[in-house]
Amino acid sequence: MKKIFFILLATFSLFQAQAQKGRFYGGYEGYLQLYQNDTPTSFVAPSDKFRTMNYITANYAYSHFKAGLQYEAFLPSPLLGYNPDLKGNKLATYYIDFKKNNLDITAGYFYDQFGSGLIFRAWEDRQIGINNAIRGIRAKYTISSVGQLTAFTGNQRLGFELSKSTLSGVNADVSLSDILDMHDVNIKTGFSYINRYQETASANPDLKPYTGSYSSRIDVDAGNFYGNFEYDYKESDARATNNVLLDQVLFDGNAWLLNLGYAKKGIGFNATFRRLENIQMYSERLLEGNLYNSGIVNFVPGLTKQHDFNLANIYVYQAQPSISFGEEKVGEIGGQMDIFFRFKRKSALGGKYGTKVAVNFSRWHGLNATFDYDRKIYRADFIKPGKLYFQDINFEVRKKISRSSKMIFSYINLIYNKLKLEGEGDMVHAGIGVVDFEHKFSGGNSGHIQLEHMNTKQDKGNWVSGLVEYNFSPEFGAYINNMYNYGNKDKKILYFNVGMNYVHNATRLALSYGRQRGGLLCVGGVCRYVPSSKGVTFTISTSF
Amino acid sequence: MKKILLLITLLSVIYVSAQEIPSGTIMDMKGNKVAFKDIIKSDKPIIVDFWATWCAPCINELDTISELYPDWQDETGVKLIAISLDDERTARRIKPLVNGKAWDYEIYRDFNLDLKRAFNFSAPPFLVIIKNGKIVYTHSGFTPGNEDKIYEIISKK
Repeated sequence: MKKIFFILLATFSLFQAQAQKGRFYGGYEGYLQLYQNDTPTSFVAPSDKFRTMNYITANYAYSHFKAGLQYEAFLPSPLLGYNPDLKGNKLATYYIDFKKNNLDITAGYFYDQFGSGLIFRAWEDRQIGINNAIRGIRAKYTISSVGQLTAFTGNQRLGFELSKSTLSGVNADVSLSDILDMHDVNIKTGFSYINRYQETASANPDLKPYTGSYSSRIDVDAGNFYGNFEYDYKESDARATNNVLLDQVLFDGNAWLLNLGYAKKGIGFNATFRRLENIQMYSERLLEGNLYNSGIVNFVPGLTKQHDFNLANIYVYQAQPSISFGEEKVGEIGGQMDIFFRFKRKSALGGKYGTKVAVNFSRWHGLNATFDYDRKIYRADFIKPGKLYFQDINFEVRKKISRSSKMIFSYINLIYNKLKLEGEGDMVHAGIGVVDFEHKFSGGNSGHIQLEHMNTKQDKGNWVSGLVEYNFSPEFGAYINNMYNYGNKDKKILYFNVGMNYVHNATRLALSYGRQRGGLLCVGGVCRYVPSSKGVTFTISTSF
Repeated sequence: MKKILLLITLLSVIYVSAQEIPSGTIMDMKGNKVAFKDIIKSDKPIIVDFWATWCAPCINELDTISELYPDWQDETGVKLIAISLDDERTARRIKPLVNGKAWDYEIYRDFNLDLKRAFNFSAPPFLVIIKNGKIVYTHSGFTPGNEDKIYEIISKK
């Protein structure tokens, strides 16, 4: 079947080459790593020191049709920290899509999301090693600007295989303001239903093979104000931990999400509140809690600011949607707030070129819960928060100081409950200061310096960080990046990194050598644990 | 066998001029879904810049261009369409950020990453210049000075 697909795609594209009615496009992305033993961090390189991860995509679009495939090769093994099941090379995904008038049908592997993704999201993120595409059939029907209906059924991609369980879903997005012909206000509502069919041998008669989850939402847009509300519910299901099914007592789950904002030229404000209780869902029950995010059906990101600075990525918050009796944790409740504004140029606070400011605040608690270990149940308050897990208060000021120079000043104040979030440690209080300077020289050259300092009395103590970057042309640049844990009582380790980048149109090459700090690598709110390592890294990406 | 087929598929690329513009569905700031091809219809140059609120070089690029944008518009009639790759973790930040930085661009969101897959780039910023319905320039990443190259291309007759 797959071979026929390949042949068809190849011949189709060759045949249509001169017709110019069709379009052939694709890309290649590759990561190569050569590991090296490292004494200061006690890192021992694996026996296969050289590892690569390669992704090749090829697509063809002609008239109402689109088809494509993605070939992946992880040879001899994937990089450390990625799912070891992704070994070898294989045709990973393929699809064919037909779109005409209001109908759009896809057969094969597809990606999609319902609402905020809290009940369903299928997506790919190569840095985190996530690809939970669904292989099956999906149909979308659009009714002009009034709404859209989506339905799908299939199996989820797990590594290079497919889940034994079947996932199906329907989603409806409706524009009420369009139906009621309202002009000044935009009101949209949405409803979704997801169903997982998984046979499971269990002594509990209440554990059914079908588990459903529901989503309801409303979005309102009026002038400069906007608001969004979503409520999701997951039916009772068995949990699992360390590959063992906990089917004695079943738990349902829910999620509440509220967002309010105001935006006008020169100022923007947004506040989000969220409460999660056992909302995480896996395509296979036993995958719950696995390290590689394998089998996740929904998207539960940590709602905090993703900082761009080295030291601000040491203590990163990971969302806590699940139940853990052993760690006395249930869900999370909290919020985040952002304010963006600018002081106009030539104003008192703006200076000659103007100043842009961004302030952010986020705070997350576990739910306030009491656990009954005998009956294996718990009770959680609805609003009253439990233990503090994380707090981040920060601001960032961007200022152009001359025709060719820019500066950024930032201060981040963190509280990180290492015990609750990582299983052991203190309540870490840290303050991080950042100064960033960029200067543009003539001829397309530019220089960039970023200095940071973290002050903390807990955990590993203080850090200092410095990045120096020079771009010799718009296409070629080199850098040295260092993070030094000078405040550590036991081991003062320098995490150094030197590298260079070359960009030409849509092709990008990067080469670097250094010591990578182990910890959570969080991209787009989803995290995976990256082991400490040392070695050479080469990445290449191109599209055609 | 598979490897030979893959090679044929890839080689056929050389014989095809990939100038036609990819299609996909994106979302405007009111939550309406729009077709990409509908918003790029113009006889003036169009810059499409893929960015994200969490991507510092993207913010640098769009901030740098925002200072030159009024002049660029007067001289060339160019329109900049900024398409955000933010997902639900950070999408709520798009509107306040764009307004707080007083950008005048047309803002959209590639909510299902359809365009990211169609253009096949790995990370933002990714910039595309379209003139007369054809892609004339693409660039990955941003370093100070890139804006001069962009100006050069959009002002060329």
